[in-house]
Amino acid sequence: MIGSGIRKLLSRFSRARMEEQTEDEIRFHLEMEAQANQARGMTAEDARRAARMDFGGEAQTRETVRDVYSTLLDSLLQDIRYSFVLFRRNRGFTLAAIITLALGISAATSIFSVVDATLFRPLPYPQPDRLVRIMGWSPEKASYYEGISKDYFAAFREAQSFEGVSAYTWYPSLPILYNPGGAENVVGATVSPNLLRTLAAPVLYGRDFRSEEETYGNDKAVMLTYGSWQKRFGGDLNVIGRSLPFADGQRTIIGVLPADFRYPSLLSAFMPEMLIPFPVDWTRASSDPGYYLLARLKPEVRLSEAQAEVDLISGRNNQSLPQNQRVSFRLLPLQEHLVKYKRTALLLLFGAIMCLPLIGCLNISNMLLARGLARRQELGIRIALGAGRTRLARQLLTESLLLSLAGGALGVLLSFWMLPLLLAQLPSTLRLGLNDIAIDGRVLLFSLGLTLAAALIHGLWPAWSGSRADVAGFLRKGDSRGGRVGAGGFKPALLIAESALAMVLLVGAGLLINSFLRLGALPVGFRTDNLCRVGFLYSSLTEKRYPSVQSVLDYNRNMMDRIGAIAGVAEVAAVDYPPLRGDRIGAPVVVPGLPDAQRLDVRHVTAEYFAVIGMNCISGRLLTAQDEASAPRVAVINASMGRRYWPGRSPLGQTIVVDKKWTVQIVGVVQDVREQSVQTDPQPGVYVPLGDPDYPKLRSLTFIIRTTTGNPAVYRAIAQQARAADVRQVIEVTRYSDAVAFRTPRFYAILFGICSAFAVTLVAIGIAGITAYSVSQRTFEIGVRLALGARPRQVIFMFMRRSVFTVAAGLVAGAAAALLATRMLGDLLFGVKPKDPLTFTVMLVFFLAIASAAAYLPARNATRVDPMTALRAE
Amino acid sequence: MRRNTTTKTGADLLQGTLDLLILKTLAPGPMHGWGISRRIRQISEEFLRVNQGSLYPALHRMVLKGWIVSEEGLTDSRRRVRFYRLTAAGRRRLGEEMRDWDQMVVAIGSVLKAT
Repeated sequence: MIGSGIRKLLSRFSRARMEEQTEDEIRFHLEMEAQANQARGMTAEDARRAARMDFGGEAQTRETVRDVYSTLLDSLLQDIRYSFVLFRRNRGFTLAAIITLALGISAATSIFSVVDATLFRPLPYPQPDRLVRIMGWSPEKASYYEGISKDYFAAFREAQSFEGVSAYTWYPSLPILYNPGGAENVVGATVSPNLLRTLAAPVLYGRDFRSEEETYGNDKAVMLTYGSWQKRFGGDLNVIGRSLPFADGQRTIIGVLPADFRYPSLLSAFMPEMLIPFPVDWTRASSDPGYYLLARLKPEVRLSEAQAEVDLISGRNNQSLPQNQRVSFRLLPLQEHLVKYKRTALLLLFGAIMCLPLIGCLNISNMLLARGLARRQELGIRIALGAGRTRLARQLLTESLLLSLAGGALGVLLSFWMLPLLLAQLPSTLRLGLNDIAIDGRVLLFSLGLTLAAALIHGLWPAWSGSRADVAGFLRKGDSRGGRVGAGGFKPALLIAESALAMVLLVGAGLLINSFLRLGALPVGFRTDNLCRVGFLYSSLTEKRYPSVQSVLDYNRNMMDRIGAIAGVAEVAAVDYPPLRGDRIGAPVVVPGLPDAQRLDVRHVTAEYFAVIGMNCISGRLLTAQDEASAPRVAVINASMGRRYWPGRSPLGQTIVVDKKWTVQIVGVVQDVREQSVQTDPQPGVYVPLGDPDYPKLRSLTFIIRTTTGNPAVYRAIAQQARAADVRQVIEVTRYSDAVAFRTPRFYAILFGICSAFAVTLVAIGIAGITAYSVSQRTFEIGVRLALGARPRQVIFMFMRRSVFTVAAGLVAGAAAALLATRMLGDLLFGVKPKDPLTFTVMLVFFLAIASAAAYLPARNATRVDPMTALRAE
Repeated sequence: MRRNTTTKTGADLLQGTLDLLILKTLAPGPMHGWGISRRIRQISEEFLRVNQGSLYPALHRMVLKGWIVSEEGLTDSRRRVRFYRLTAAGRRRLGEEMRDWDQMVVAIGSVLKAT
């Protein structure tokens, strides 16, 4: 039928001539017929009339001939024109539908740009699927580990499967650069000289690293990234070859990386300023900490083949080793390595947000169906006038498509504003991958697909049911008011589906908000408001710059004094491990009566620590400044520790050995606090006074500060003073209310909260719309009922019953689905089970209340119908 | 009113047979619309009256399908009208339609004869 299509298209250009000829043809036909009739003896007048009667409708024929030539495009344009007329006539509905779609599509677009950049888009290197991490594999723990020994690094370099094997670090290393203005920690990354070749990443200016730069002494090169080249050197091309003074010697700038270079780090926020060669002493057998290996497979080598070779290499070595020293390795595609921990979480978010456009579509579909009844008359007349059902369905689908396109366009525009908002809230734990998150062609394609899908989802059913308008019934009844028209329009299935979806979201939100609140309300044991900490970012007081113990102690003292002098600071303390920085392995503590040393949470603190945190003394005494004067001789323990090791007895006076070094006597017991993390229950803990000048952590203490007000100016002053103590140190100030512990749960709680609020609002709008609509369609019936003595309450109930019962069915279905779905929330929840009956009940009741209110308001309007007016209108 | 209800002859042609009749009529040579309708009527001895309302749309549809082509021509009375001529595709189609028709006649016949 392609030929016929082309002929149709061609005929468009000679349309006028075609019609003229048809006209001629018909005229000729009639004349000839009349002549023939006359020849049979009719009068001229009769002959013409007979010819005409015989021919049938002339206009009809012209019309039908024209129809033969009209293309899909013609009828589409006609449908579009007609749709616009209808939209103008129903501004309220049109606007509501477009806004619903726009919000849904923009939310989906925003989250898709995150998911796409992170999970789906290939990494920004040539043939990224060839890049693999060589990871250590621990069969007992069934987990990967990073560091691989030098011997294996060497062996894998010789392997046939790889084009190149490079060592790199995906965390920052911090060489110290001596700037004229003072020293500073440069955020750098140490890499094998062949890393860029392995990544197939080009150099913008200058040269790549050379392989000899891998040996000690020859490693004094540095590669700038584009950002730091611009920032530090103003994009000056003459920097290449210039020498920079680092703490470990002069380094020569050999090149500049292009702006689109991405460092293959697991921490996507980490973009090094400089790359520095990773010197390896191949000759010396040292127990090095291990190398993080990144390799590129040869083009023809499959992952399984490379894995087989790696296994062969490790197998050969393992033969000569005892069982417990054998190692195995696994190849992990780089892409997978970068996102493996967060794939589920991201897909969960994506799924939750995709519910929004879906609910929106179901809602619009239902409104269209309800309105389809109002259009019964119009559709019926069109069918009676000869419009085909497919043609009618096409008209209705065109309307849906136009609505969708308008919503989609607006939605995409909206997402340019919504995406930055989302990114600002997105916790760093979910910002993975190396691709920039932006609304690009792929994302726009997704939005377009979603828009079209939305048109189908919300338009298909109404189009189908609309084109099946019952002409005969409509003509018989003569109006649209008889029977139970208004109530019959919407499809309960759609309302059930959308309220079920909304219910799943709502339960999810309920659980997440619940666990977030629990986290916040948790008796951490100390107040985190007005609390902040000041610490070194990645670094410490180096021996080079602080050679003597005294200089370290002076620095720490100076820091305490400077911060303590700030107005608004109540108290300052120093500690080796700040509270709420996550789980730690702890230090060995020998408790009398127990054969093995216990790994316990040991903190070295200044005497002020207890006051700053707000820990109360339960028995004995707290530490004093005198205790700090020497290596620890006394210690304070917490209540958990007392209960565990001296149940029913007083631990006071007991002697324990901490970290194999300090034999201390317990002088006091303090209350338990959640020092490791908000989620972790208090663990047995020991507090020993900071005093031993040999304690290495003295070089990287954290200062904990309690302020009297939450005034930001105080925190600014703290940051200023802390940096002034030594401008060459890189210092970070963190407020505890912003502690990372809360960020991720808060993000999920907010996101699900917004999604479910939106979903519930949509359902409420849907219920209100449907009820209001059925009220407007049944004024006559209401008039009759009221005239016959129905009470307003009965009328309200009549209208509420159906929609509320339908929603209730949806909610029950949704709750059942949620029972299965909330399991996915798993470790996002804290202190509340995925099947928490309270949350389920509260959300069910809440939703039902909203649904009832949404149905009640328009239903109440029904009682305002004046029976006389309603009846007279007939 | 689409159909001419005054002539209750065989005017309500079976769907699809109109195409067959037109193709058959055009087989000997080009003809204009009125000629086609008259010829069908003559041959069937007035039994089949082609409804003009469907004749012309059918002709145009068949042009689009490539079975016939329309071209300007002069009538005996030297009037300039549109003539329709069978194409090679049209001729093939005629063969197929005739075969189908024969099969159908046989089929319907055997159904009717069956007791």
